[in-house]
Formats: sequence, C-alpha cells, structure tokens
Amino acid sequence: MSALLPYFVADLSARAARAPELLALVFTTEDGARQHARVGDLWRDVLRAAAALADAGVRSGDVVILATGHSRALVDGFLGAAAIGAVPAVAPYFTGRLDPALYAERVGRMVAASGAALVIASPNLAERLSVVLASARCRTLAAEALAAADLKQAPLAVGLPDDALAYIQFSSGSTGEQKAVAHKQGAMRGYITRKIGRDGTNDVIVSWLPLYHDLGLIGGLLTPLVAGTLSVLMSPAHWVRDPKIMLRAVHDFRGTMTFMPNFALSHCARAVRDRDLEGLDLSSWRRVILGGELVRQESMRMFAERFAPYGFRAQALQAGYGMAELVEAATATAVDEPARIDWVSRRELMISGHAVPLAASDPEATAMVSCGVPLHGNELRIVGEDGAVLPDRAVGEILVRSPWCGGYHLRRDLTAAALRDGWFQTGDLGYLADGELYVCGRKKDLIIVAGHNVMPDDLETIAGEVEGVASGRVVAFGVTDERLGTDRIVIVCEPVGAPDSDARRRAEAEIRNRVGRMLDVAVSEIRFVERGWVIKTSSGKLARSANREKHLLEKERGAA
Amino acid sequence: MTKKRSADDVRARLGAFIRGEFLGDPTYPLRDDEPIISGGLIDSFYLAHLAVFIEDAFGVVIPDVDLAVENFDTLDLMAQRILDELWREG
Repeated sequence: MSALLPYFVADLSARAARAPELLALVFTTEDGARQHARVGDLWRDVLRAAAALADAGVRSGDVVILATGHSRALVDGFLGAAAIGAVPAVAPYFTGRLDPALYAERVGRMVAASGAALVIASPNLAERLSVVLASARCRTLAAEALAAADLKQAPLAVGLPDDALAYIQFSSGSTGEQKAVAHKQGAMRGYITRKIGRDGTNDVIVSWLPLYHDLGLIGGLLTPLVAGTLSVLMSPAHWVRDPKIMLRAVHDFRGTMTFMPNFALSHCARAVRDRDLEGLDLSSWRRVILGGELVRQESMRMFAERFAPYGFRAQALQAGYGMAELVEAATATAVDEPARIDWVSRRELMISGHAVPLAASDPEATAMVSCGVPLHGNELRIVGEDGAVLPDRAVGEILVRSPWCGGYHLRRDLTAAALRDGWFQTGDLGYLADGELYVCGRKKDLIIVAGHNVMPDDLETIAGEVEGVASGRVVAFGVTDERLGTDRIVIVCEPVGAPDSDARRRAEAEIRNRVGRMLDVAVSEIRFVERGWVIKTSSGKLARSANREKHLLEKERGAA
Repeated sequence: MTKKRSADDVRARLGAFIRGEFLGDPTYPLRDDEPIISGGLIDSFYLAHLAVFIEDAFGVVIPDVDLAVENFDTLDLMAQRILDELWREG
C-alpha cells in the first residue's frame, strides 16, 4: 500500500517496514546538538505529526504553512502534512532581528496567497499569529502539539492523483503580495526521479540551507528521503555564526554533496581558523554545487586553495541554475568535473551584450562561471527583447521549458503571464556557449546578499516612507563585493527640503533600522543626493541599472 | 599602560578594521556606542570574521556560542569583552 501514499513519504514508509534501523537524518539543533533519526523513528514522528494535524482539522488538499523555524517540528510537520494529503509550505525563518509584528503580517500575506487552512508556529510566534490570522479563517497550531498526538490516528492519504498538489514554495519579496508556487505530485515524482537517476543513491548530503529555500528543501531533505540516503542538516543561522560546522559534518559523516551560494565559499575561507581544521579530511566531498547567486571564479579559487590541504578537490566545485518555479535545478555542470570558466571581455559584455572570448591573462578579461547544461528534461533558450532566439554568446533573457514547471496557486493570471508558449520567462540574463549556460544578471534587478534574495522594490518602499526622504525618488541596487563574493546594498535617496547633516543621519539610521526589522539585511551605503539626481525612464519607472552606473561612476571620480 | 589608554587602543584597532574591512569606507565616522549590527550597518555574518580578527590581533579566543549580536554590537562592547579576557588572563 505504501506505493500509493503521497510521493514525499511513500519511500520512507516502505523503508520503515524494511529497514527501520537505517540512519535517515542527522538534525543539528541551533545549539549544535546532533539528533540522529533512524528511518523507523522518523516515520513514527511523521505519523504522529500527521495525526496531530488531522486532529486539528486538516484535511487532504488543505494548505499548511510551517512557521516553526529550524526545528525537527518543521521536518515532521512538513512530512506529516504530506502524509495526509495536505499541501505543506515553509515560511521563512523568524530571526531575532525581524520585527515580530511585521513577520506575523508577512505570514498573513502568505496565508492569503495560498489559502492556507492552518499555520504551525513556534511557541514565541503562535499567539501573535493567531491574532493576525483570526480574520483569515486560518487556525494556528503550536509546534509542540505535533509530537504529542497518538500515532495510530493518522488518516494517511492513499491513491492521490498525479495532479493533486504536493507542496507550495513561496517565491517573492517581503513587503508586497506573496507568490505561492504550487507543485503537483506527478511533477515532484518526475523531477526527483530524474535527479536520483543522475546522482545515484550513494550520496551523503550535508546542508545548512534553510528549508524555506527550494534548494534546501528539495536538495537537503526531500531528495535524500526518497533516495534513502543520509542527510545531515544544520541551521543557516548556526552555520553563519560558525561555518566550520559544515566542514566537521563532512568529515564526521563522510559527506559527499552540498548545495550553497557563492558567498559561502568566501565565508568559509575567511571565517574558519586553521586550528579548527586540524585533522579534518574533506576528501569524501565530491560535489559542492553552487547556486542561488552569481558564481564567481575568484571565490572558487579561494575556497579550493584554502581547503586543498585537507583533501578538498577543486573539481568538486560545480554550479547550477534553477528556481522555485522549475522545482529546483534547471541546469548543472558535469559531475566530477570542475565548472568551466569562460574568459570574456568585460567591456563587450556590458556595452554590446556579447560574450567575446579573451585570453585569461588579458587585463580586460572577466571570468564567467558555467552553470552547466539543461537537466532533468528541461530545455533552454536565450531570447532578445523582441522574443527572437539569439545565437551563441549573445546575452538575452533565459527561457526554460520544463516538464515540471509549477504555477502560481490561485493565480492563473500570474501563471499565464510567466509562461509564453510553454516557455517560462525567468527574467534572468545569460548567454549560451557550447551548450552551457552562463548567467549574467538576475531578475528585476534582484539583489542577492549572502544567498538571501532582496527585492530592490522592498528597499525603495521602506526607505521612501522614512521622514526626510522623497518617496518615489529613491533607488536601491546591489554592488559587487569582490572579496566577499556577494552583493552589498546601496540606497540612493533624494531628500525632502534641505535636511542638515543631523537630519540625514537620523534618516539613515531609520532606514537601516526599518530594513533590518523587515528584511533582516544590512544596508552597506545610504547616499543622499540633490533633487533630480535619480534617473527615471520616460514612463516614470526607475532605471536601476542606469542609476547604479551613475553612482559607481561618481564614486570612481570621487564625487560621491 | 593605563586602563584608559589600552581601551582606546583596542577601540582604535577594531574601528580601523571594521571601517576598512566591513564598511569599505575608512572615513566612516563610526561612534564608539554606534550599534553596527542591530543598527543595520553590517550583516551578522561578519561576526564570524570579527572573531577571527580578534583572535589574530589580540590573542583573545571568543567561543562561538558567545558570538551574538548583543555581545558585539558596538566598539565599546567589543573592546570591553577583549579587555575583560586580557585582564582575566593577566
């Protein structure tokens, strides 16, 4: 009967009967303790969570949002919801810097976008959320309730059709309307089956990515559960504070595969001390797959050099490209080969939009890192602004045709706008060369700080509401921090009136404060400019890249 | 070396490091009591880099569990922690 269970739990259930003693998951708590979950125990915990959700009135097809943060309740609740045919969705983690009231409002917008019936919340949020959600006919369940239920009660879903929803992935900014990407049972089976077919079932995954991120959830939890391979999970907050925990986990469990953003390379290389590395053996690590932000050759070089003495092999550094709408990865570089580097003219790339090859030694050359070839049945094309397919080495928008592409839940209009003749419009910029994809820039001027997506619109809205800042005359963009291998946030504001330096300082502090409470990121630079500085298009829209160029040029000339 | 003097030295070295390495602006007028992380000047991931610097520059080891925003949010807090550790070691 297990083959008829919902896809995410079918294999786990079968394995629980066959090999309950196998280690399924090592869950590292926020304080560093490692909880070992054997297959049989994990399945029992999932059944208990399933029973608790059914007790709370959750039915097959209901959407359940998990606002529990990094915890076993998140894993059990997600799988428990899946087991009864409900549709789980993970909310971004609450952190100490976020404003709890604003966070609760954001979860409220996720409930609105997904039509959720229930939110599972950590104890510190449950009460506040139940107040916010009271009007939305959405109930709140405290995370502790999941482990307290009687496990024989779980009404497992059997024989769900392929077009039943499997899970929802939120994908959007923080201040505005939320987009809920919905994936179906059949698409998840198709994608994960293809993925396991390529990767095999001998990996040990080591991951600190949050489970609210598609790469963290699919790569770190769901694929290993289906494949029956061990996954060692850590929290992103813990890893950021103490990056050596990932290296220790690779050593201790003979880890083979990790997914992470480019920033993690420089963070590990710079923030791990030599004495923490003594005796470590990283030779088992055969794939460190970079994704989620632009991959930089310099960060790869720094990481490979730093960890080579501990058995790390440079060819383990691979890259991929994907997004929540396409389930996870659309492309990846070859297994057991380093990602290819394409040296091209920086100038031509910027001015003519062509990737013109140059020798690596040329001072004009910039290194583009390949994100590999289309995988898992995906097809790729690069198009110009008129929609015409572009030749190799011409930069244009990346389109993907995917058998697994999801739609926006309850929003056929958004789904229709994102798909044109079956091709998903990523909004990202890139070029193809020898069949491999090179990504040049992200959607809608998206800023990615340490793997964390930040929408410039959110920053502009927040800054524009601060006293002394001219609303609508604010522009936010990212500038590359080469050493950290990620973006820094710059906000350029036109003032209201002629504020003195004290007033500007107060406004700066207020912008940083609000951005921190809403988005949990720092603003590297806030610049006040004279009225009329900010460039807009003829239709009155912000021209972010033009403003960015203007800012950088003035910085270079010492005018800013 | 007086107590006052060494606290100033520690703050000056930390301040130069933070302005140059983290803020990318050596001229930023960073106040001793300015909250750099909770105030949104730098992201909390810099704490791990700060710990490495403190260890290299002052020989003070900060246990990972202590690397929290509330302990290292201002130059004053950082300097206090470093001096406490140095005096404890004698």
